[in-house]
Amino acid sequence: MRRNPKRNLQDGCGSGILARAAAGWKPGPLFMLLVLAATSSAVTPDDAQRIARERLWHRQPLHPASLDLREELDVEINRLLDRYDANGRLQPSYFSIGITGSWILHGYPGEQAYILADALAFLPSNTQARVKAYLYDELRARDPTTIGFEHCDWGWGACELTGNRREYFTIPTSPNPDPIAPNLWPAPTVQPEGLYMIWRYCDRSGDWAFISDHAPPVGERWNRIHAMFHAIPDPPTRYGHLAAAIGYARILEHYGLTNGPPYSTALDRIHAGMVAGTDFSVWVDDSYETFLFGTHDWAWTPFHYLRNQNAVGAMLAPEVGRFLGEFAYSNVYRRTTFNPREGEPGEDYAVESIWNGWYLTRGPYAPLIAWMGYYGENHMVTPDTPWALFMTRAWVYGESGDELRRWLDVPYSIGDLFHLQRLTATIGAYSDPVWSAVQPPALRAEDGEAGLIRIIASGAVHGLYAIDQSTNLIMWQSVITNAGPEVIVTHPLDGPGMFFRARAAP
Amino acid sequence: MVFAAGFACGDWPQLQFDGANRGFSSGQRIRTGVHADRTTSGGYGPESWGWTNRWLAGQPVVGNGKVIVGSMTNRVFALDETSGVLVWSTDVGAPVLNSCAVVDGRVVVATQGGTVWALSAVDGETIWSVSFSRHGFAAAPTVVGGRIFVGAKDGRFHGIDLETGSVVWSFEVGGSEDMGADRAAILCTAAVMDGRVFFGAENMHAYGLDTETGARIWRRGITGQSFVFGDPVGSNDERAGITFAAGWAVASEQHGGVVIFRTQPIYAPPWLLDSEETFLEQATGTNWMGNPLGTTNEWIVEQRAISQRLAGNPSRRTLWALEPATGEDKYSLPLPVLWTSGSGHAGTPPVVDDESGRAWVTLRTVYARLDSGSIVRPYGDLVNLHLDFDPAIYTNPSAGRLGFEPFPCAAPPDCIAVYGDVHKVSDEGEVLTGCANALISTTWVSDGGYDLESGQTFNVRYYSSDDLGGAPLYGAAAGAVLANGRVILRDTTGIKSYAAEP
Repeated sequence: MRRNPKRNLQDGCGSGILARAAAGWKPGPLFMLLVLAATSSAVTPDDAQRIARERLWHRQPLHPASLDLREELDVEINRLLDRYDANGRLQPSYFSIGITGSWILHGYPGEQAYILADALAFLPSNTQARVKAYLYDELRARDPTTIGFEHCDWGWGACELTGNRREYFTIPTSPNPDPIAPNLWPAPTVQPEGLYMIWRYCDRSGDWAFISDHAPPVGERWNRIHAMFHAIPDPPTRYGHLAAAIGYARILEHYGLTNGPPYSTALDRIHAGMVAGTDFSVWVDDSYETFLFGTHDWAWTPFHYLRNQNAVGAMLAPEVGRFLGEFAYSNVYRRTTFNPREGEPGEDYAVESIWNGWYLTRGPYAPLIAWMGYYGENHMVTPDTPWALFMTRAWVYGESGDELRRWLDVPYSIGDLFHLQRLTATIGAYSDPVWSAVQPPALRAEDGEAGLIRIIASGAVHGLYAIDQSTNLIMWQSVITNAGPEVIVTHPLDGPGMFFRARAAP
Repeated sequence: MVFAAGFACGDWPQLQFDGANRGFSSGQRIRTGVHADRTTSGGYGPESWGWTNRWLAGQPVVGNGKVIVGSMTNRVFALDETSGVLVWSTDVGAPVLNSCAVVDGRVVVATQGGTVWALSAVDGETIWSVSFSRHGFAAAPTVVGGRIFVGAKDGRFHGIDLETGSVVWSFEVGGSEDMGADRAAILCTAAVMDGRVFFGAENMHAYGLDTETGARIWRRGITGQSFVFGDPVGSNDERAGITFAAGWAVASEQHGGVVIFRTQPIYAPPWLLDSEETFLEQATGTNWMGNPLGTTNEWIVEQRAISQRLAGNPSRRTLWALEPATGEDKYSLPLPVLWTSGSGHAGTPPVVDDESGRAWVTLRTVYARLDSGSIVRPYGDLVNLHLDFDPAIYTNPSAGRLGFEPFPCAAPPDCIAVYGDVHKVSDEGEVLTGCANALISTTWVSDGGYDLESGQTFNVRYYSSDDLGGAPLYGAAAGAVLANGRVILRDTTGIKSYAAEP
């Protein structure tokens, strides 16, 4: 495993432009991709803005080497949906960890929404439609701005373990005389990380009405989204906070609210978080203190936002992985994969180097290293720990699809969201990922001759992409050189769902 | 008897010795020494050779004069059985998570990458290979009658011709011939007996298939979280290898035939332990400090209570004794076997000596002989399990039979050992193997055993000076291999060979 040079590629572009649609056709923003090679050891405000604004795209056609994984993704998601159709909403997942107790996984509604929405790009159209319909209903029934984690009531006997199950095994539940009852009291509150998940769901699914169908947005949900952002400490103290601020900024961008204090505050918060989070070791240790200290437990928690009260929540956004790859790579690598000075005084063992079965479903747990407080004995490895290591390889190291495939293994359950995320990241890694900004409003598009769209862009446009609106995949691209202050491009309308993005150079 | 053909009688050709996973090599004897507290002077030895490799996986196997073991670093190694010298190693392209098998001069390997290999036991050269899906294999191959049986993590179970590598049949868990069950990984190593092959899938069903056709004979839903147990091994001073070892089915010819599975409990172990401790004390009216050995009548009271508790709370069952022909319960009440192992792992299936009609297993009893620990350790013990016993007898209050017998204590009070003694408490996920005169227990904490003739424990190695990890912990939880006058252990540092007798 070596650092992917692509992680050094940066887009130094300035503002973007948006096209307006021709009558009867829904346009999207246009953007331009300009690639510059640049790295920096200190995070500047420009760095923070760049990472906050640039999104991960994948090109069409998808790489044939990922075909089996796409089929697997389709099968696994349809299993989830079939179970939903047959018996109703899927409950969170239960996992007995060993001597430490038991955990509830996938209990935050936003987690399922963003992971499934992320998979949309790689699913056939019929499954896409099922996923969108499922999530549309789910999010309106289980609002991630109000539900922090599936929870029923006080005390033992939580009803999270009743209902439609993800596990392959049967859980004895009340009124069984011998029920399993992890205690989720007090109820976990909504965490800021939901902001990123909600943005990603809305963006990938197109269901922006979930937040608001007004521009500017209004309503109680919109107010709660603001409150979620203001729950992020200044400076942020964990990587999920960074993602949350990015998600918030992108929600503001979608609604064109980029000129007011909320947007600049979000960018400032992102920068402050990146400055603070550049020292990966500090935040790793903080996460241990927060989630594991004093427990007889072992896990790898830098990307967690919940891991107490029997509730597990974790998220590593691609943008955060990119930030770590650019500004904290060696630190991440030393703590996660291999530390050439491990064993020396004051030096940590990297997680993977002491735990060679880290990627195995129901695999062995990590060995003890001097029985450090959080390296406890007697537990099973919970699914969130291999997930954290896998996503580090995917988003921080930028490993190839062939490399990530080695670490996929198999799901713990039906609707194992950690496994679905691994599959999606691996398929994406095969698909020539591109980072590029979205800066609406930008271009305008007009009807051209029959069957053609005419795109008029201002500025030195260097790249133009046609995006499939339902999958967010890049359908075609055009590189424009020597562009003047305005460029006009005509292109066949390949499908009604296409929209265009481009971006001007500074 | 059903043993894999094609190996010398003193070999250990596959995981847990034979195709039925009995784990018992009746042709071997070892020195057990005398009971010794926290010393390493009691049992077999001395060490005759050692070979260092921290990335090994599974239980070593012995055949063709070689000790053969796979590794997490994509290689299979063959060591000279007498000297420990590396004879060959072969790159199989992906990690090997479990044991190999060596039968008819062929080393059979199933990899995490999804390929089954047959290598020459002489030089490691490839004879054939066959590739399956990317999901790979966690189970060890079982070889019986010229056929390889192995389940994959994509839910498919395969019968493969040992000679040619051709796939004779495949059965898909949750597939068209298994409607009504979820497709799920197979992590469990299969057992073969009398034309049937038995395994468990992670959909928590046990299966019995026809070895010739792969047709499903029966399917049986059982409780538990998984069939897997991960070997808990580690080191506090150097990088340590870890192995992945799924559970296995064990088949026995006793009492008309029985197939046994153990599963990882659904319950969180601390709660389970506390709950069962309370239950045992209430059921027996005693506790571990008050009456550590008990009488036969007291054992009966306890065992009756356990069987009835399991019958009333089936989700607590983690040992399943099934009819090989039908998958139905072998007995009309559950065997009085409570979950044990403080690690949260599944207890391992019994060691079975079908020639003498004996079996042994770890379980929880208030009359266990160990130890001075608290919460986790009390009540775990190794016992003689009676497979010719139906717990229904407990419905008769005057019944005088036992489902299991704790080991006799030859010299009280030494039977109440201190913490440092060999962990017959089964606290740490032990793997048991056996030979004519002894059972051998290997855990990540200690190695030792039980003299079947004297009933006394013996120690070989103890890996930690205290329970706080003050010394390295690098135990061997893969099971001791008894082959050709040697005891061969894999721990996190590599392979060690001991003379079985002085």
